[in-house]
Amino acid sequence: MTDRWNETLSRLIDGDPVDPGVVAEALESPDGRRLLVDFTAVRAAFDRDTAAPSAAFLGQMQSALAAAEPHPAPRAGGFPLRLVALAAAAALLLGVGFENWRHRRVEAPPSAARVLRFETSDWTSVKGGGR
Amino acid sequence: MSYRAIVRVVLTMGFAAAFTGALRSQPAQPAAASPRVKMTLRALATPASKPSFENATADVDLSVGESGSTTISTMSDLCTIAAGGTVDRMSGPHHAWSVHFTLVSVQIDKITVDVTMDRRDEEPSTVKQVTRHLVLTEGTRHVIDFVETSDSASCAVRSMMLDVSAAFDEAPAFARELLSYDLWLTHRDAAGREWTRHESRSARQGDLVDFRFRPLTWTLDALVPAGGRDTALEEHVSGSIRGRIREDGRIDVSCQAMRELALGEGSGGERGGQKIFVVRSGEPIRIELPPASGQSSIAQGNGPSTRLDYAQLFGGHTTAIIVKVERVP
Repeated sequence: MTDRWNETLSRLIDGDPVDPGVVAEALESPDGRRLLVDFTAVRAAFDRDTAAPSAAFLGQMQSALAAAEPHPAPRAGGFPLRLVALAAAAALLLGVGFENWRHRRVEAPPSAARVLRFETSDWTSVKGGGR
Repeated sequence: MSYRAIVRVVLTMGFAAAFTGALRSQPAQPAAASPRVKMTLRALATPASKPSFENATADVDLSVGESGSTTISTMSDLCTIAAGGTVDRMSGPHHAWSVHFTLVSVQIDKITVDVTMDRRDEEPSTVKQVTRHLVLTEGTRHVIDFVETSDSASCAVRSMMLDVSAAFDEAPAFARELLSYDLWLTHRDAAGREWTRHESRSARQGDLVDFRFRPLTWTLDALVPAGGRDTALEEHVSGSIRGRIREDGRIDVSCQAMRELALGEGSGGERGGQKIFVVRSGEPIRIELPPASGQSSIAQGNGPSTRLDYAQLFGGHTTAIIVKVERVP
């Protein structure tokens, strides 16, 4: 089971476009099939969840938000706080993305400068098999 | 012939004779870069009711073309032992081994040596001689003799085994250098789909490093669409690798690879081989394994079991290990 299967199957369940080759590869494995069933169960549970906030709760929230409106938006060093938070989140995502890309680069095999082959005569029995 | 011509001929012959003599008197020196190899003779004792233990060792350091000898001797009850040198110091009933080594050639993990073992026993007096041409991987052992005793001696040793092994004396300039090993397993099927695994190791140069990739797993029905079986088929690839830095900066590499194909509870056995090659630091080398072979049987409910041929199941597939060795700065 790989992160690739995880991500692809999760996106498939969410209705996003995915690589059919990765789906086929995942479905060839019992682990991949189990993962798909798990995601389906989570999605079904999510869809079944009809819980909603009560009218009283909504009323309280609306009055609280209305009371907060006259105040100026909080600022950090002259920049709106929302903008600063967005910039921080973007930097964090970029960092995670770069780390992920760097990790995948190491995981991917390099193209070989030379190719050697084990001939059948080089390849001998090390340990007997059986059932 | 004139007087001068005679003098010239005599002088020329004299110089030639002196030069030839000088050459002959030079002792055979090993080349400066010739690696040194330590040949070790070891005695392994086994008591009546305890595990075996190393009882004595004796070493000889050699370069290619050189010869050397060492000895081990023990009393007949196997309780007293002496090792090293060339003189048999035991008196009374005993066994004395003299082992003579001639180093023929040296390559990483492939040391060729001629060994002659001479064993002399006192009371009863016997002589045994064995000559062997050995090709040893570094650190592996080759048994050359075995003796046992029925005496109820106080030390309780019942038998003794003698073996020989070979190890490189690392070049001082590189002895403490580290090498990093990046290893990838790739398996590609006939349709071009590829599965990969990656392992990283680092070790002092000359050290043997084991590796084992996480197994690749398929279901039988993925390999044989009409198979209709959900049994897992696993490819296990493992091995060991050793690198040693050359004086020119390139790296000698010895890679031992093994593969086992396992179906359910059964296995087609483990097969493997060794490749020795030279690389530049950081140069990736792909080593392709032979096509899958062997068979396993799979039970079908209460019915007869079916035999599956791995060559058919993995027809058109290629398994390879990609090796990248680098000097760690």
